[in-house]
Amino acid sequence: MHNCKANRERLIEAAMTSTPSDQSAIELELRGCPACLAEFESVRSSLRITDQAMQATAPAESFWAGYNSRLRQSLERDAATRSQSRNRAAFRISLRNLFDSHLRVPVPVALVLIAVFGLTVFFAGRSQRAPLSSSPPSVITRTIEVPVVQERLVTQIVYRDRIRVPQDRSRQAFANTARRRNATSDSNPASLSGFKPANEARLTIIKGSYQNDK
Amino acid sequence: MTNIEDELIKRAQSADMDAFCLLAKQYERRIYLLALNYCHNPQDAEDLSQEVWLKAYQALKNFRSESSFYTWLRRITINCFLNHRRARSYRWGGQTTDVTLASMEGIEDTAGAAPDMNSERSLHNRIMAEKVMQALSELTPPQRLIFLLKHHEGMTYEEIAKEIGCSTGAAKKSVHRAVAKLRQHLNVGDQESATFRTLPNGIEIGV
Repeated sequence: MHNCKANRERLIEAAMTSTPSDQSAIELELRGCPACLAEFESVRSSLRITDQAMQATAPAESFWAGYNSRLRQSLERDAATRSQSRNRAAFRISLRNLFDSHLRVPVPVALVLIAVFGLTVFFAGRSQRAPLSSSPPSVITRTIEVPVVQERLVTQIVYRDRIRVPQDRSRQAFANTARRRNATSDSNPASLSGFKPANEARLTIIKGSYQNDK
Repeated sequence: MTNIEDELIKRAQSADMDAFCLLAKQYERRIYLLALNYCHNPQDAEDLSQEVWLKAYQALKNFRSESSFYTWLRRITINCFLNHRRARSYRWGGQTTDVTLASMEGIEDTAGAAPDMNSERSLHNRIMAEKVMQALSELTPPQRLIFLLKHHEGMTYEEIAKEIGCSTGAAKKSVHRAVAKLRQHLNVGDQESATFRTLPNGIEIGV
């Protein structure tokens, strides 16, 4: 018994998947029902046109060379990106492992280590507080040439007052003094003992000038 | 062929990019055409197909030869297409894209159509491709993908249902809907089916 509704369900499947020989067999089967046959022809034609239209949009041969080079470029870019991210991930993992790592230490050893650490910190702090020994200043000798102002000779004539004493008396006094000096020099060697310098030394300076210095 | 492919797969698994490129060369046309019929845009198709190859390259170490390489690759392709659909619907609020003659010109430009193709043939090709694309663009992306997997890849409804994650009935319904849309756009009705004529390039058109 021919059932159009049931037939139409499988027509699409038959038109899509069947081989040409199968399709001709179906055509023969559908000869008895023109509506089903027309339906089958319609579906088959639609699918054939679709196939051909899809093939018509296929790129030409020249397209594929560029496509392959672009594919290769994107693969290389992706490989480079992935290697970078892999390196970064490995670094992150190693860093995390470093912070997460455990070390089993017996309690006494741990206490000793803590004590040693504490003492080290204590002494380090103290040594930092002590004043630093001042190193002797280094002496640097430099020769500096200083310009010397040209020297100028100044002639000074110093006069002193003479106390006029009569010649005889002075001679006599001088002779006495000389005798006394000789006597003392005989007994004692000449010395400056008893010498008293005058309280004031008077100097009278007379400035002379050359005729040119005006 | 299989031995060569196995050898290429082994080399590619040990990060040999040349081997992977040779492997890709065998299937790139098939994947690209699937993407092109899914996206209706050459640029999107290239992006999508290259994304498939990138994913395949990254996941190749996990390929255990339990199925054929192409079956495994097709699974990646379907996932990429579905994810691409999600990304697009997120961006565009699920709007369907209208296919215009301009987009088909883009396809022809990219494809580098042969210059000696006569203008009548070219025009008919373009019109038919336009109609097919228009019909497919009126489907939802999963319906379109299901139709392409059935018609282009020859998968069974059970396989499609398993890969897409839907029921067999839903897969069948999607294919029926796609065929109905194609018939509607191509004007291939009960009466028109008898009046098809073959164009110089072999494409039949309803008059």
